[in-house]
Amino acid sequence: MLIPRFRLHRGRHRHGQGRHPARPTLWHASPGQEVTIVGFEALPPDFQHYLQAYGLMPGRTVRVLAQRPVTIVQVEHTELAFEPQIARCILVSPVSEKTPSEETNPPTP
Amino acid sequence: MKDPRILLVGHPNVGKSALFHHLTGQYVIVSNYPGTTVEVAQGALRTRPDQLVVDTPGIVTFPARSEDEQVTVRALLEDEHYAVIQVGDAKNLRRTLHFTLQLAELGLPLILVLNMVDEAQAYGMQLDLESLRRTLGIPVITTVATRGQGVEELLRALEKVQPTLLHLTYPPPIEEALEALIPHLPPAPVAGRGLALLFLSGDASVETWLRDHLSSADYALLEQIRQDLRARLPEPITSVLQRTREHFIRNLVGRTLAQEQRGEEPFSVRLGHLTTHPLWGIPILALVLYALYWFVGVFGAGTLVGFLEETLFGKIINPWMVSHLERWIPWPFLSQMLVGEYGLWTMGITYALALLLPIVVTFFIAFGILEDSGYLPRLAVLTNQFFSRIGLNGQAVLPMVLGLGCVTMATMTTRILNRPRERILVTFLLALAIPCSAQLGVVMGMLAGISFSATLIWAGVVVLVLLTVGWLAARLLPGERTPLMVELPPLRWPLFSNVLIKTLARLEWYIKEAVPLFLLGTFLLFLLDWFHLLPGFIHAAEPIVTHWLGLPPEAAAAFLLGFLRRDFAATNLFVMESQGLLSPIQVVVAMVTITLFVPCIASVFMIIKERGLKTALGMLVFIFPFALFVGGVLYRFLSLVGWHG
Ligand SMILES: Nc1nc2c(ncn2[C@@H]2O[C@H](COP(=O)(O)OP(=O)(O)OP(=O)(O)O)[C@@H](O)[C@H]2O)c(=O)[nH]1
Ligand SMILES: [Mg+2]
Repeated sequence: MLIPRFRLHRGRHRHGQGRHPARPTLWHASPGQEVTIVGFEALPPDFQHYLQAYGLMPGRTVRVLAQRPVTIVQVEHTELAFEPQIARCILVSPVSEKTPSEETNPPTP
Repeated sequence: MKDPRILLVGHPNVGKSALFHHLTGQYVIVSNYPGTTVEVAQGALRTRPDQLVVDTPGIVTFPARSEDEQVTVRALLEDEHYAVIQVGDAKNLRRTLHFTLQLAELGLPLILVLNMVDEAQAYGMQLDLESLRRTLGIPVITTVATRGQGVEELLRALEKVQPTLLHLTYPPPIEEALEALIPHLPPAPVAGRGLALLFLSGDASVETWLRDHLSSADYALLEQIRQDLRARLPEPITSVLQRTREHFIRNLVGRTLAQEQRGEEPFSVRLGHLTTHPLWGIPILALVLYALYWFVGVFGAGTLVGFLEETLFGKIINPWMVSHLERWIPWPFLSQMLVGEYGLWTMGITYALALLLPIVVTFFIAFGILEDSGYLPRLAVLTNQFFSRIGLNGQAVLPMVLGLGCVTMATMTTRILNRPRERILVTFLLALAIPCSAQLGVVMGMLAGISFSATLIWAGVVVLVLLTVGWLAARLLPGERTPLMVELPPLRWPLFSNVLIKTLARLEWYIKEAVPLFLLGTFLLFLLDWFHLLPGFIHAAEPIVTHWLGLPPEAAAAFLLGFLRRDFAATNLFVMESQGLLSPIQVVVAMVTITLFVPCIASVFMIIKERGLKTALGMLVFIFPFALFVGGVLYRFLSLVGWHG
């Protein structure tokens, strides 16, 4: 069985600090915000694979529902809850207000 | 070789078991949380009794991450299948299709069932099924499993299933590796391409299977091909695979799914958010616990037991039985065995039917409602902090809470946890400190009769034990803690029919399991009493029961029953209390001791089955003296501070 090893960024900065961090992660997004997943950082590959199976994969847009006590996001119509130390490993870029999100308007070929 | 079967597979909590019920007429537990089913269940297809259908635990993706998922992978890879029905949640179409592709690559005779279309429609989603079918090349059927809608169409589709031919083309390095791999694979019940892809993604069960079926030289060759591929790619192989699939799915979903603009969020969604809110979550939890306490402790253990035990059995049935049987049966041995002080009827059956049945019925009803509402997984979010202190994460709350229903079943549910270390810790804490429904009801009923502070002391001690022992055990067991990651299902209205059938199923099982043990325990006590061995035993236990725990000597008999089932012991103490034999301090000490006492025989067997004999024995050797130790310390402490209820 595959067992992820976690050597993640712990503690240090408090949530919400620095509104424009150099590399925004899911953990920086505020509740209600929609963000697009860009990639992963320092996350074991098998755990990445697991997150991707739920739809947390580069290119997808997700909505942040809560950051406390843990991070909760909505992917399609599923709510996923995970600890901040995972959220800090998921790189995102904010979806600007005007760009329609992929969830609501699937692209037509 | 087994006859080919129909396998139901899919993500957790998508309605596989509900569909299984409609396909076979056989009920397996259906609840609104991922991880309800942790073992395969088998039944005959309603329309074709010689065709077996198998329900499996939910799996998120290959490779399996937990023991319950491994059960499914084994079922999928080891046997031939007549058909594989992938059940998916229609409102999570992309996630579903990712798994469809994985199954299709294995060349399985696949049918895709998009379940929960009622919810998808409520969200304004519209599916172009024809286009889905054409692209995937497999039957695609929509269902509402809870209502049996779409089942007829599924039965028809089952008449003509065919192996899936769909396959995606991956980037050249991967295709080349596949081409090199496939000729070296041993014959398998699944397609070589799918097997090779699983091997490339590092699936441990496939690796084991290949090692078993290949010479070590051939296996080394495969390993070499994979190494070379890894070296060629700038990122993990699985990421490349998933990206290719995602690309395909994005196009497919774009063509087949129309999404109307959503309106207001439904109330259930907003309520769901409140239940995990750092501020509102706590009062909601308190409300839920209070409702549970009221329904089970006050109504079940108080009102219903009062009526059944005191009135129905105490005043009507038992006096009649005693007077008649003693008259009809001339042999005192037999009549005493049936209706004496330790009579099979007057003690065994009366305890089971008059005292425990109302408690477990109310508990199972309340619990079924909670399970079906979708509230339980949200507790994982609320309790994550607590469990992180004892080296676990909030996911451990699910087996623990299920333990309140039945520790034996909950021990099996520890399979949903990801690591052996977590499974051992939770199994241990379940065995030590989680009272099962029947026992909990008796405890609540008794303590409620004394004072609220009695309940608080009992709960406080048990939680303290859980924390300290959990903390220590987590320090002793090597390994890291896994961070929490759970899916929160939508809050739903519990279905009356499901709660009812679930309660009945559990009740049947409770009666089958508990009543024989009750009769056995009563019979043992009767024999000890008849041959005048009981006083000797009570005397021998006096140093512990009386001097250390401060209980009346007769309580020794209760603890003897506790070796069979803790709820049996609690009931015996309950009867002692109602006869005025126990003071408030003694009740609290006895309840704490019996809560921590060795788990019932059935769950000991389950622990042996899931964790092995050595681990099980180790746990028991700790638990038994520890329970007595805590009881004695509590007795001294309460006497010292002069607590009187
Ligand atoms: N609204 C709606 N709810 C459904 C439908 N099918 C199942 N459910 C509910 O979904 C929940 C999960 O159903 P189960 O049959 O236990 O799901 P499962 O796939 O067996 O779940 P696991 O065993 O945990 O993997 C239950 O609360 C069901 O009542 C459906 O078609 N519509
Ligand atoms: Mg199930």
